[in-house]
Amino acid sequence: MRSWSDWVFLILRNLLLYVALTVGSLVVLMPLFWMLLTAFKEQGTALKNEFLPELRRTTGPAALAPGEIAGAFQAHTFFHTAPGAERVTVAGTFNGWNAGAEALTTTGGGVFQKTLRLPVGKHEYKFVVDGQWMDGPNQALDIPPSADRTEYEGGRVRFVYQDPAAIAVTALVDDKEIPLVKDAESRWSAEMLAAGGGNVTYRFSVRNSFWAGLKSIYTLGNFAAIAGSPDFPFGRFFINSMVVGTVSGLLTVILCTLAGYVFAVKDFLWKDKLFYLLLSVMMVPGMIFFVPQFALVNIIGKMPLFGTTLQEMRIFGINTYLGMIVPHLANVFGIFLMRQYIETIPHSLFEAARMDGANEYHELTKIVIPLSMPIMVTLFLLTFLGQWSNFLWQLVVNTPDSALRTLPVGLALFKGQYLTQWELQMAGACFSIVPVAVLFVFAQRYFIEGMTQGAVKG
Amino acid sequence: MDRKTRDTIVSYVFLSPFLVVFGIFLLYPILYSLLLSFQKNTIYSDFYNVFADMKFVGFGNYAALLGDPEFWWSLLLTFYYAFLTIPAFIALSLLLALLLNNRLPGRGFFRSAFFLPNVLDMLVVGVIWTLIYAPTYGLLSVLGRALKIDVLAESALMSEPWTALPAVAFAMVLKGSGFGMILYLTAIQNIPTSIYEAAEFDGAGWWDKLRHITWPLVKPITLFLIVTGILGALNAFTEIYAMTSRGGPNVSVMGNTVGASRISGFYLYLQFEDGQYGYAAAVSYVLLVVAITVSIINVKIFQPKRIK
Repeated sequence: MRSWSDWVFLILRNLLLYVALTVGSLVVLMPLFWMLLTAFKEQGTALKNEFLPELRRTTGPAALAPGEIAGAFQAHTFFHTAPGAERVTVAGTFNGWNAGAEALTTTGGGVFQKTLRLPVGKHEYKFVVDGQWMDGPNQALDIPPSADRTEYEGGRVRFVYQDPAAIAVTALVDDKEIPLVKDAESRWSAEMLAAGGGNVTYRFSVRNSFWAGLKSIYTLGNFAAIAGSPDFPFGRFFINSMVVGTVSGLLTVILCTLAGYVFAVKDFLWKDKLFYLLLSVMMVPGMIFFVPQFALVNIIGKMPLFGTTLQEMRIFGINTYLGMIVPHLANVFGIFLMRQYIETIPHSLFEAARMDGANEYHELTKIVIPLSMPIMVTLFLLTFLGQWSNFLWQLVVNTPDSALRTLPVGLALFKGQYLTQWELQMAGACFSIVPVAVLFVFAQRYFIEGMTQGAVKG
Repeated sequence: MDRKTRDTIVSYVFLSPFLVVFGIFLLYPILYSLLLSFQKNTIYSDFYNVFADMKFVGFGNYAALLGDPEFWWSLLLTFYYAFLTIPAFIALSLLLALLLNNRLPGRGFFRSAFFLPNVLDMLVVGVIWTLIYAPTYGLLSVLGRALKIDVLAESALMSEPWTALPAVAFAMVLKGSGFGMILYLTAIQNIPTSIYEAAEFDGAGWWDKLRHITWPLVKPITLFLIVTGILGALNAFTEIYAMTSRGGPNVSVMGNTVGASRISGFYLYLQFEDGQYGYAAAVSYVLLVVAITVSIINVKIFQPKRIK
């Protein structure tokens, strides 16, 4: 029997364990959460590091003189990355395209920024780096009409505030709180008599709706933007990765099942010698052979064949699927895995089959393949994963403009060109991470068993 | 035809698809690479005209290599990287395994959560971490400002020579520890409970049990993690490519400009990129010898204790 103090101890201990496990898993998964949140951010806002909407905010004090009608302005921060640049300015419709007007300040690492108050409406602008106008068309900028706006009408002051995310707005004038009322166009307004027709100093206190605030921070647009981007079509990269992973997985399973079967069941000349040769080659790191491997793929692709070449027919060579897949099919670990598993099939099964006149083909299709399905699935998934994450080979065997670039290669090249577009980079990262994470959730048994197999047995 | 001959023929028919690919794309390149390590290119050869005009130089590449301070620096850094990753990796893996060894509802969920980063693409995870480490706008810097920790707020981990490699190591330990955790967990669960019960009967606390029962009995896993960790450090390339700018930042060590995170795997890649195929092949073979030596030493150190 346990006394109550034992129970208290047990509960406290388990509580502590849960806290430790939760904190631990949050830390381990933090990069993924961050990637997801950033991938959904509105373009150009990732550097703000705003993850949750502001629920309540107070605008800075603003003054309004009698007879003046304030226009609507909104702050906008320009970012530009120019490593090694001395001076970056921004010129546009808002400053008469004056290249020397607004200098950005550097924050280190070649990142420049500047916050300007711009009138509501559409603008165009360009960056000027060290006196050089940037190439390409003018960049468009749309300042939405959500700024605080105050209008003066006769002897009264009218407060107008436009923000679809707001659920309550109050104007604060000399410690007086004037609640604003929303109209059909979600404009908040209220009127008051200006004291003695003098200057009025006011602030707005705004309560935002959580959901509307979330909508103003997050968007689905980044995925659409990069899936069909002309230079970096991540949709295509995804298909390429799928093709390379799936075909590699299937072919590897076929080759390794055939080989694993004879190593497990048959007795043949040089069996042990061959097996040790395979195992010792498995230990050789990939860096040793990747350049001759590349040369071979290139040479085979360019060998003359009936007046043409495999490279010209886009069958094998540089920038071909088979060139990406075939050199990695000789997966010795796969043979090891298959042999290990097939050896556990009782030998009597094979003997009984042979008595009935079965040949090797029957043994393979009627006994080995049905019984080793789990390990074949494991091997397929591991190979798929290996090729999905294979970076160096896919980088080398594809030219930088190849249509067949896979996701890691695409992301590495993309990162080089769009240094500060974090939300786009992370949307690209999602194309690689999310499918694998989903696959893992559904097939984790196979992944974990397969990946730990070598360690436990070896 | 006797049975063995028939079996041999059938077996090699079944093996032939694998052996063809193996011979052409694995064995031949490995041997060719060895030949290459005794050669030097006389003209600059580009990626599509690899191996044009190679000249036999005997052990010239190996001699040049042993006299190259950048090579020794990269090797030193590799062991530093192994030193940064392996103990942390083992400690974190074992800690997670011990936490998960308690019969708690929902531990399957945590097991999956810790293992998940293992299956994700190294390059992509590396890119995510560079953004987290980025100065001023990175998550780490933002957290530092929120918590008023100036060191974090003003950090620029990837551009400081002293922090670049540890920052890579930290990210990789977090990514990989779920793998070690599963191995340790399996090993711990294979320890008979009677051993722990006997120890408890003798008045052993949890530390005694960990120190004198669990730790010795999971030693094979620890050895495995050390060996694969060192081999992993010798092969590490993608994380350096993803997270640093060409193995930088540059530092000056005894008059030589070297990269503060240019470990041997990346040094090797730079030689390839430079078109120094013969020299690079020599580097890779020296690294293979180092890897084999380290594995043998590890096994020799750990094996007697296992028997005792």
